[in-house]
Amino acid sequence: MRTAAARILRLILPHMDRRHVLDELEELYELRVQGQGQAAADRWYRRQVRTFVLRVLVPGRGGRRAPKGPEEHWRQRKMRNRLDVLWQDLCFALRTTCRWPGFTVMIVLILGVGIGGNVAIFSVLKALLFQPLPYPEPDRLVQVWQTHIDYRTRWPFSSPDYLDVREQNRSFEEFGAYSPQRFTVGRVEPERVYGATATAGVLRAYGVEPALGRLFTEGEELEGNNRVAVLSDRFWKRRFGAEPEVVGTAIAINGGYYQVIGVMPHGFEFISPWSPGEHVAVWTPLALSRDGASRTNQWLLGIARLRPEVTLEVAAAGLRAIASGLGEQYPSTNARKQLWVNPLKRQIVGDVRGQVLLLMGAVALVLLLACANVASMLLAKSARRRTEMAIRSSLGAGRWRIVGQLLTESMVLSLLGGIAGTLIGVAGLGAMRSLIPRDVPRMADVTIDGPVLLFSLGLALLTGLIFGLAPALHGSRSEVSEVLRGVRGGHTVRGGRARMLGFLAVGQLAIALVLTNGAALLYVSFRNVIRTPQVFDAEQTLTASISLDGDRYAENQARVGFWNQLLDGVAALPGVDHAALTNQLPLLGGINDEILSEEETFESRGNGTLTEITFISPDYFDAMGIPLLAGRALGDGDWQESVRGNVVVNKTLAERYWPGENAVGKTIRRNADPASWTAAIVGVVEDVRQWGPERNPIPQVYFPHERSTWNASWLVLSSKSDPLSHVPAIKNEVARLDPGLVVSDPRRMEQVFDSTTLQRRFITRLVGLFAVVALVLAMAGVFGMMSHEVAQRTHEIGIRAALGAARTNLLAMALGRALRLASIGAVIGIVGAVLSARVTRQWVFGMSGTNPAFMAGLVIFLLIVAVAATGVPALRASSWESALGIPPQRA
Amino acid sequence: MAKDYLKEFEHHVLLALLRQGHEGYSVPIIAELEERTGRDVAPAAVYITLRRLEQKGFVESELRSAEPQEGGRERRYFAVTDREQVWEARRVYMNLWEGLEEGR
Repeated sequence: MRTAAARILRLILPHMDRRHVLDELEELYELRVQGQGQAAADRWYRRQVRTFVLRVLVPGRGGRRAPKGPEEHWRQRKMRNRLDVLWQDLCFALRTTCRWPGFTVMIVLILGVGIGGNVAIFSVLKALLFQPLPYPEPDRLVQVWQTHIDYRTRWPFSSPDYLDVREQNRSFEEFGAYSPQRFTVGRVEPERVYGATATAGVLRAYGVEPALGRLFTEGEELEGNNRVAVLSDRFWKRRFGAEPEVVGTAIAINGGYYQVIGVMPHGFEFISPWSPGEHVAVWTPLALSRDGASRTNQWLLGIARLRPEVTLEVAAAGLRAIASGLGEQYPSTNARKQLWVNPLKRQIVGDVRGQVLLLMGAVALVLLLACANVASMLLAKSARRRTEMAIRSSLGAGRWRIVGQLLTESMVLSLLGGIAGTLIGVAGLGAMRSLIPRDVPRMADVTIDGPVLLFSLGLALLTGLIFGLAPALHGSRSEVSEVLRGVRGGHTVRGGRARMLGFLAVGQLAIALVLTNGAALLYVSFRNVIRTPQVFDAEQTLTASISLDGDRYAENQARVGFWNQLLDGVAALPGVDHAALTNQLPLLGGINDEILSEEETFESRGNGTLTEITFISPDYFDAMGIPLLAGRALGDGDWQESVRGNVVVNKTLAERYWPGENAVGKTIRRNADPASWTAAIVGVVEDVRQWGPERNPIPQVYFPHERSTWNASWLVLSSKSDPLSHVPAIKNEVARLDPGLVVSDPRRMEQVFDSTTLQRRFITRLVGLFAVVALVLAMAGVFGMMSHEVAQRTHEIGIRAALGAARTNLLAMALGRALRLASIGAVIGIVGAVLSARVTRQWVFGMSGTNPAFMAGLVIFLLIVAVAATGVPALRASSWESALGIPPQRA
Repeated sequence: MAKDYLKEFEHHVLLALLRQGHEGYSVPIIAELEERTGRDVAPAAVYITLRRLEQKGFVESELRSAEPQEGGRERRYFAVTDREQVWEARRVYMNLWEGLEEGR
């Protein structure tokens, strides 16, 4: 404590005094220790440091002062004068803000909304884009993909390819491969958690040491040695109560026993591109071998740490050389494969970067609009303060002195707005956090911290300058004699102010148009997405994930046996119409392979037709509600030999190969040499979108699950009653067959569908909210401007009325001006909307981003908004009392 | 000619320094002040006052090492330059005090 105090002193004392003051203070301290004891002396020391800080740093209280010459003296006088002026202005500004509390609250709220949105979105932006990944030297971490030689794909590695690259590369300090998966942990109350089987290099590449125990070694990558596990800190605490003794003991994972060898440190998150928002809780070693493994079976994610001296370009060049070497060595599988290194951060952030930047742009526009709005309020107010300003300047205040004072007032307002904005931002972030889709990575790192607060302070000051400058310059230009003689608004001043107000109104309308256009585009696109016809029965279909773990399910036969028993049991449940099994649900992505038709000849991998591969049980199409278009569905016994059998294909595949023909009876085979399977098509079904509602269907082949059943599969059942009501019965059925199994994620297909539109829904809602705020502000802005204008022109209107101008003429005059301004705003807004189409492009679905009819509708809407905002003040102007210049009577 | 008037605390510090035998550093000065005035004295105030007295020309200072060895503690010693000046101040005070009695 005392050393910290001494450090502060060392910092503030002038160099020439530093040493002896510290030494002498130490001496005094020692005397105190002897006289009054350690604690009292410590307190005394800290008190002295405080005194020093005050005396040395606060001007006028002694301290760092060199002998004064006359210039120095004047400089200080001037400085002090300036400080006095600032202080006066501050006091005055505070008094002003208190004098018009309603006005102040209004402005602070408007600014608060503008700044708050920015603070909330910026905190997300900062965590995602600016904050480095939470690993040592994160820039050296790269994701390694296999990719098509002609275009970029994110193919995972096959195990022989991975092992070859690991052996040959010289750029990586560590190069690991892993496969993300779900584990069932525990025998009593088993639970499903996210995990990964990983080579020893994976966790080492992240560069984080375990908090307890150790990481895997290469020796544990061998089959038989790999029964060890590393746990995440969070999982260790939750499941094992943070018992250090867990390290060294065995826990049940997927039905087998694994010895826990380490626990990762608190806060370590394993960020992976296939499950960006999920918490990975368990790692087990990945046993890889070249024997019997095909280079066409690509399933491993590659993660590497670059050597310190190696740049990304050098690493990429090295990998290209390795890839072409492999291509020559294994032409049938690797001729079309290339390698690609992508920095992990870019990999993780890349997918959500666009939407965060879109939101940042939207909130920035809202803030700009808020600035214009507040500026016009202040400008209108400055009309009422003309007398005050005139008196000030007649008493000798220079123009810049008045500008300074007005700017100080706006700064006070903007700082208050900044405080309100930060509070709104904190609240908004809380609300947003619950809305942010789970697959957005790094959301735990989003907080309102020092840099964010600094950002909001900076924003507040900038805002104050933006909205304060024009009113300050205007307000300071009072013409003393005219004002004091009682002339109602000198012409130049009033004309200038009206022009400026008009300009601000145009700006607000233009911004509101840009935002409304964006929000409307997003909304219509969202509606298009959720209205995309989905062939499956969303409401009456239930899905649940079940994973068959442990040695008893090692053979496909055993798995099929289990499933058949389960499906029989589930199908017999009252109310269940059909029950089936699949390895991948529609919309959630899946695995794919390349196929060839009987007419095509094999050249190399990479040349075939990319096709989704789905394994299903016989009743699947009925259970999911997918219509059969031709032929028949799959039944038992459709795949009896290992390399030959029957399949069903989707419409896209049938039309690609046999347009206008019947595909039933044709054969397809795998694009490999030799082809590991050949299949006869027995039926064609309607397309489903495998990769989400926004991606078009790609060719798809359905295999009978006798050919291959995954450990983790989805149970699908259809029911006329509420499908979720069957969940307890299904759980009973599964427990009856094997009590160690877990039924997870029971959902209706409707919920599966909703989960795939979360990001879009989120973006649409937020931008919609911003657009509503923008419209309300712009409307209020136009209303305020017209009210002010009418109030200012009461005299003129009165004279016009007295000279015989009709009421409708006066009304038309006001509306005409509003329409003129709105038209200019609309033109500027359309230009802005066209420019912003580049940003919104990736979110526009099922329509054009620059649809003229759409924009015309928006413009009409904006004109209506402007006219509506003008209506009340215009009517007031044309009523006869105000027409005669008689102010409304107060009761 | 008087260089400058002495403020009260400057006066105190100057007298405490004189009581050290015209020369001393902050620690004994502070001890002397605390003993004679019966109040806690902030070292910062004393340093700043000594600096100011130096600027006004009442004292001069030099850095000395307390212990001869390397890394020994450092002290800044102050010495009164012009005793006449101090006595002059005292005379002014006495003149002003003359004829006044406590309680009136």
